Amino acid sequence: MDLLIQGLNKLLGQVWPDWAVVLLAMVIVITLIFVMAPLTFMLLTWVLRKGIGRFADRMGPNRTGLGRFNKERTRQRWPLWGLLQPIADGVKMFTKEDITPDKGDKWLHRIAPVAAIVPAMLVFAVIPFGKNLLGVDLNVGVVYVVAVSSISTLALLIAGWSSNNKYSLLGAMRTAAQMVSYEVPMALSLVVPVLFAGSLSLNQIVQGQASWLGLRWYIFYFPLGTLAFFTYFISALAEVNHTPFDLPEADSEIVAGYVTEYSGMKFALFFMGEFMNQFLVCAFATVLFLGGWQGPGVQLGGVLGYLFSVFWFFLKTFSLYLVMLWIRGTWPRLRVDQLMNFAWKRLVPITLGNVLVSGVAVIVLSLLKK
Amino acid sequence: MTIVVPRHDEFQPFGWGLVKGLLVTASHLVRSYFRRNLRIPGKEPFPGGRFGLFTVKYPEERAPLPDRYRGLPILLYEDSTQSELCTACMSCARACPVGIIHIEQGVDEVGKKIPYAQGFAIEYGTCLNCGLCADACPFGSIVMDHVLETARASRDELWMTKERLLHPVSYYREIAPTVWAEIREEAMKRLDGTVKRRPAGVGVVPK
Amino acid sequence: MSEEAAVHVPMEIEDLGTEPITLNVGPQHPSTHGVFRMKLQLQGETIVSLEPILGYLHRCQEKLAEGRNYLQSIPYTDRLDYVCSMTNNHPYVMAVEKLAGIEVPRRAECIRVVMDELTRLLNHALFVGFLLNDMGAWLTPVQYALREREKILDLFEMASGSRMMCNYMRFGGVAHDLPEEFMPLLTKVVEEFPAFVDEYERMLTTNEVLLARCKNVGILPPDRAVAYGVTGPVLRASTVAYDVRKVERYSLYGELDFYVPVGTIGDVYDRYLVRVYEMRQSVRILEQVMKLLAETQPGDIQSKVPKTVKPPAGDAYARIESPKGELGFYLVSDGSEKPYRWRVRAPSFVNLTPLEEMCRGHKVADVIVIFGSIDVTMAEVDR
Repeated sequence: MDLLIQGLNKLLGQVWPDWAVVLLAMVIVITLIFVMAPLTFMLLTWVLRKGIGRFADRMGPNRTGLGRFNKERTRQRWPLWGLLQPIADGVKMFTKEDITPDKGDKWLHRIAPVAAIVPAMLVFAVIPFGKNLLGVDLNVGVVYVVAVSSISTLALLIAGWSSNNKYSLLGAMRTAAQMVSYEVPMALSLVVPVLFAGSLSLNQIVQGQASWLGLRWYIFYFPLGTLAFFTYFISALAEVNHTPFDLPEADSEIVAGYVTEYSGMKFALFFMGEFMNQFLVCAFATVLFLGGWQGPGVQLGGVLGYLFSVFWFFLKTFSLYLVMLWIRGTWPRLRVDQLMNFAWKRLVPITLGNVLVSGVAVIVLSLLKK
Repeated sequence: MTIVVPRHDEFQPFGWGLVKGLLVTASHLVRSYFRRNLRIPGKEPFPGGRFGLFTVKYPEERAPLPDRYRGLPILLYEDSTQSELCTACMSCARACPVGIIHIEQGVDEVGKKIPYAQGFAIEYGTCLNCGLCADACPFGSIVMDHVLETARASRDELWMTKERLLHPVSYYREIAPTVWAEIREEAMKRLDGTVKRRPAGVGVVPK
Repeated sequence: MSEEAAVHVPMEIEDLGTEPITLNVGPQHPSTHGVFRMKLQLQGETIVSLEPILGYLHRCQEKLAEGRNYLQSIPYTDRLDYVCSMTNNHPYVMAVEKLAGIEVPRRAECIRVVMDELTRLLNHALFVGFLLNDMGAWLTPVQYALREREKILDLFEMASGSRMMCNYMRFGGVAHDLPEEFMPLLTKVVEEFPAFVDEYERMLTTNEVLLARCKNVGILPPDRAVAYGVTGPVLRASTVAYDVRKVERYSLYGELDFYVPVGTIGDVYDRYLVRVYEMRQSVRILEQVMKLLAETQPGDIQSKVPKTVKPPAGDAYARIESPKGELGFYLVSDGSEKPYRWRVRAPSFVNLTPLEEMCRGHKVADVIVIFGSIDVTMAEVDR
């Protein structure tokens, strides 16, 4: 946003007062986020359906396109590979009947979807999508992300409770237990790149990984960075309720978990929040471990450098998302007690050990440099 | 001869079993872009192997139906003389497990029964597609059509009367040549006798 | 991953004032293989008791059959266990043949065995796919299994006219002879199926998540299995080597050479392994029967049987090893063309009875997996 303020100052600095320019910049950034987040969600659902289809030797949606069918009904004018399918899904969600359970808590039932999606949108403001292209350059970016993204746990609990349904309650309890338990290894594995970079600000962490051929990305700091990446990825899978930890929304046991009683737009909001969380987790892992927007071509000045940085960022994030999809298509899910077992008995000691060794390593290296 | 199945209790380091699963799915993903594994007339007649897309883009491409496919029953009439093969012998009505075939035998001026079905109706909605009627018919007149899209907008349309059930023999010969070849001789021989026993003009399908 | 104890006794937390909740895994549920209702009493996530409630799919088939003659009941047998329709026809026609003393020509016997074993491949592939679906692998293993089934369903369609409700076997043989495209296709299927099973095993059998979900879950000791009357792969997984094909030696099975797989502990993992192994043995049987089939003359597929069969008064019980267990038909005839009593011994119904014992002490998530591992089709349970 600082970049935007500078640009707007150049344009309107003489005419408008300072506070108006800042306000305009804020409005622009917020609009951008509100437009980009649902678009990312739509793209992710499309990738999901096509990807899971291809893993299973079938096509995903391929008929939602534009233009009428020709007379023999063999082709649409612009078939578009099903890219309009998310829009079709959105229309479907809008037109469904909105049901609120009679005996449940009505206000909580209405608040829960909103509380699930707002934290996801909040995190969009701090992720650097390109060279200096981020909403707010907080100097405690990592802590902000971890704190804000755990608010969604509360939203899921509210959803499960207010539905007056034992399935939802079971799902909500499992979710709460799972998300709270996996916060610990996630936060601990995030300490490692922070130690390497020496700063909590996301922009600084990305700039600390500038290197030729990506050799200084924190994932390649063997074995500490690699281990931290893997533990972060696994805990993040559990945080966003993704296979193999998707017990809260286990379709085969508890129908749909905490979203059983939701229909229409409210369900769409939950769905959106979940997908955005998945995207954000991938984006966060890219920023912290894979060098963010670094890559060949970002050193060029002007617009080209910015474009390259955005391209590299999205490439890395989508590759991580594809890995998540890959896992989703292959592995079954773990049971609740096995999940908790895995978190507390395996991941927490590993990540604690990792933090300890990283801290010692950083201190030793800085002493050696002197 | 019994054998105890091995249980794979040995420990695999680094989650190797998980990784193997990932590799299998990845190979399917990659190969699905290079191959289509389809049952479409004109292309490879049967899916081979395990890889490749196996989606048939219905309704533009349709998988071929074998000759013996049992859709819904239809009645046949012979092309050259336009006479119906059905003699109202009631075999199919007796054979049907759900009793949906309703036949009324025709009578001539005197009141004697003739081998002609005055009224013939089948309830398509209740049909089990079992083919016992076609097996039971000695005259080869009721056979199973190759229909797939049988949905109708109202229940009345599912009450099929004789005009809607009649199809020429050439139609059936085209869709199910091997089945027709089995029943053709017997059917044609008996048709001669049937036509002789009917009064003139009765049992002829108008063009 | 950790290995949980076999039976986990729930803790009594009297001072906390907890009480069990009743959860209804209702008739409408995504993974109860049909309409089946279970009333679970849960203490936290651990099951204290389970009450199965059946009957949602009852269609009065046994009574309907008393009002139809023997030939007209054959389509009704297809609809008993809709996944395996050929093996449903088989014991019924065997029972009528026993009653009426009808002989079956050799080619028809070969064709019947081919259809039985193909049905076994169909059913076990579907079982493995849906077991994984219940466990949460979103539809990918299901799709691989369904794709293999498509080839076999094409074979059925070619021979009998329909993929699912085949209505193929008749008294004294089979209804129609095999078309000429059948044998090349069958050869292709038999060649390619072991590769599919290999790939499936590579993907799943050593998967750590599956092992954690399936090992030591839902153990059924062999003495309890025999006491409940369980048959089929569930019994064989509980270390009891009983296969009706080896005991009765009906049809051609006396001449064929195959192994009977047996498990070690009797948990869900053993049932999965037993079925995978049975798939391989079915392919082996098919190879042998194809050779026997090639030696017979085409055309001799049904012995001379009157159009309406009127077996003499008496009763007969015929059973086969269907993919789910021992499927038997008990017919009582009074000499007329309609049976006096038409009784089905459905394997899924009997295999369901130890469900409570297997589930007690496990978690909710395990109930679905255990239920899926028994491999039930509710149409057979309720008839």
